[in-house]
Amino acid sequence: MSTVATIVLRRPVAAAFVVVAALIPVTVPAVTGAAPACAAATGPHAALVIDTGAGVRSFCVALDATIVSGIHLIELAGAQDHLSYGFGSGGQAVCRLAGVGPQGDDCFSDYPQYWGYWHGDGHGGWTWSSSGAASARVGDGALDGWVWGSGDSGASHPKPPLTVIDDVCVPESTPTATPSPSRATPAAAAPSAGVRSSLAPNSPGPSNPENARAAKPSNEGIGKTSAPAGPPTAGALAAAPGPPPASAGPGPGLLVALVLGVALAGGGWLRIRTSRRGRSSA
Amino acid sequence: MSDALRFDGVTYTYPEGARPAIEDVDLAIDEGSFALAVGPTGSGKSTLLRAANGLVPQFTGGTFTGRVSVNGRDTLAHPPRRLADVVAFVPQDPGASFVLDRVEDELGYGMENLGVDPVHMRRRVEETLDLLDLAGLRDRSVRTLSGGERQRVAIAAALAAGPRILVLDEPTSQLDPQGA
Amino acid sequence: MIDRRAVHPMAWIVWATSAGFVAFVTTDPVYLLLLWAVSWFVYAGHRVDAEHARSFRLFLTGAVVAVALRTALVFFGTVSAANTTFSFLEGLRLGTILVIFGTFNAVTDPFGLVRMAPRHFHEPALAAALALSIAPRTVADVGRVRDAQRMRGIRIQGVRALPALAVPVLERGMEEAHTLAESMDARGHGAGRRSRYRPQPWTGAALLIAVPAIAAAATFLAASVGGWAVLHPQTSPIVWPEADLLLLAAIGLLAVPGLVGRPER
Repeated sequence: MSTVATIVLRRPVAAAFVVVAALIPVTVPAVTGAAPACAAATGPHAALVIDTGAGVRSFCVALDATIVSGIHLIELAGAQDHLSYGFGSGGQAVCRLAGVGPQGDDCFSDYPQYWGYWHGDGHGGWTWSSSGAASARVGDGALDGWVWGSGDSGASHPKPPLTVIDDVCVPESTPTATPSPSRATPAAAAPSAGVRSSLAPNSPGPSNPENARAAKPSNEGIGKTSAPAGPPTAGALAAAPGPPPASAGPGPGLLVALVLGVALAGGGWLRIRTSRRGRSSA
Repeated sequence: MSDALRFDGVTYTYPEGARPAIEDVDLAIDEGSFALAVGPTGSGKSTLLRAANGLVPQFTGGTFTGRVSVNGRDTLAHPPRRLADVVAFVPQDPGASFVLDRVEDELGYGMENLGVDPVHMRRRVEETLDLLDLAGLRDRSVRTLSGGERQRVAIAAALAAGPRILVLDEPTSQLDPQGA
Repeated sequence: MIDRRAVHPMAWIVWATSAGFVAFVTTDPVYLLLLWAVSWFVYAGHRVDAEHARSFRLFLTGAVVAVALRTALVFFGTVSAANTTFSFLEGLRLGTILVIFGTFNAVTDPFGLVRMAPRHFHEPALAAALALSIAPRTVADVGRVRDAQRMRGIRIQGVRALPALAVPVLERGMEEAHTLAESMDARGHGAGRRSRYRPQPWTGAALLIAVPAIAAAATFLAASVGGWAVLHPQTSPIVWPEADLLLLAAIGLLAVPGLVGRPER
């Protein structure tokens, strides 16, 4: 049986065309992971906080995809704001940030000191990361923190200073006064003596001006990254109004979209019914 | 006066064939004449017809020896599409050969490929519609036609292109959808 | 003898490309799902005949399967709500492109388009058109082959009938496609000289199909470049997707062909 395959096989150009056309729907979505990077304060952004022990640097990083890995977030910060970094273990682990940490491939060669990885919980507190930087997923509005210090787990390793993303990536329309109440509120009755102990290697006081200066290149007018006033709350900050959350409820646009969708679907269905009736009666 | 169609010592074997489908064929058909190929199934009639416009061997592959010339042109030297102005072929199942939707457009298709100017095309389409009594069907979709009507349209489409040689494969067969 | 009733095929190419572009630049499920509704609406207004209706259903089924498969791929990695949502959105985008193409295929005549292809694209365009024509033909042929089998006393019910059907149906489809390719070749297709029996002018209907589509694509392009609307909703953490009113209006523009309607044959 000679078939269409004959045409396709004998004409390699045709075959290539058909194969490519079939593959396009599969590859296109993969390629378009890269949405254009956005320089303004709109578009997907994430925050990166680096605490070397001698100082804290914060970066507002424009994401080039909906989700990036923790490694890629550091790379983007390097490209956008000249953060220096070094990876080890074949590019999967963080060895060096802002000039601190071992050179080479073994990120634990300065053990017991190493870069601890934290994720911001959205209210100023931090959670010890359960995955490595290469498999961590960082999306719009996320906050990643790295602290140089010793301690084998989240219980013992030092945390980054209290930070919410709006301190690092200032949203355009939000009045900058809003973030302050959240941190000024003493949520838990923590004894003031114990307040600083969990941040011991951090010395937030002298590092404050450094914060302000370091954060400036990424965004204007932030000086309040770690206000010494507020106690560390480790995520229990339920009472404060806080900055406007990124995830508001469903907006009015969704309602319009729903109406439009129903109208289209219904209209199409009606069209088909009337044309079928027309045909059968003709 | 040259022969319109001429076979010289033509032997052809299909790519999977164990023996030749046609062997050592010599024939010469004058312009203006009518020839009929008769034989049992499998005797090579379709192969012979397809050799007349170059589909064999250019479309089918296989082993071909000898020479077929149409209006002086060697079918091995020209691809079938370049012989379309001289030879027109109507396959056994005309329904499977329709390219366009409307009868009238289908008649024009061959001439479009030959670059005939629109005025001339329109005139030939009108003439061919009248010749095969298809004027009433000109706006119809070919899919809605009966077997006999489709056959007429296929022949009309072949004729409209104005070839010197018209090759028809079982033009009188009733359309059998099961085909078995 | 200009046919004013039909629509210039280029109008549909512009429509499908614009709609495809919109699906390409966003993963927002609101816009994507609306595109499904738009494609359905346009198909309903312009489908050519029953054979093409079947092919649209095939594309629709294929699109749903594609979404399901792409979403299921998440199970090859760490599963979380965020990952699953991300996977689903990627699949939805892929499915949307398939549905748009299904509409395009159902409202145009692929062989009519092949004739318009530039000379060196004639063969690949023909191969593509043939491949596309196999599907609706196949569906029609299944019925015929089953009749033939029944007449021979072959009665196999249900899924077990598939292998017995598959070979003759596919073979028949291939045969038909082969005959068509053969006859197009024999009638001079792709020989280089070209004229048009009935040139297709740009009618008002064609413009109403193409121009709003271009506007829609341009709007989304502007949003993508200018960043004034969210085109890729956040999945980590999951948030309610946004629906910008201007972009919704742009998608509405893509539905205009459904309003224009098809002239009666």
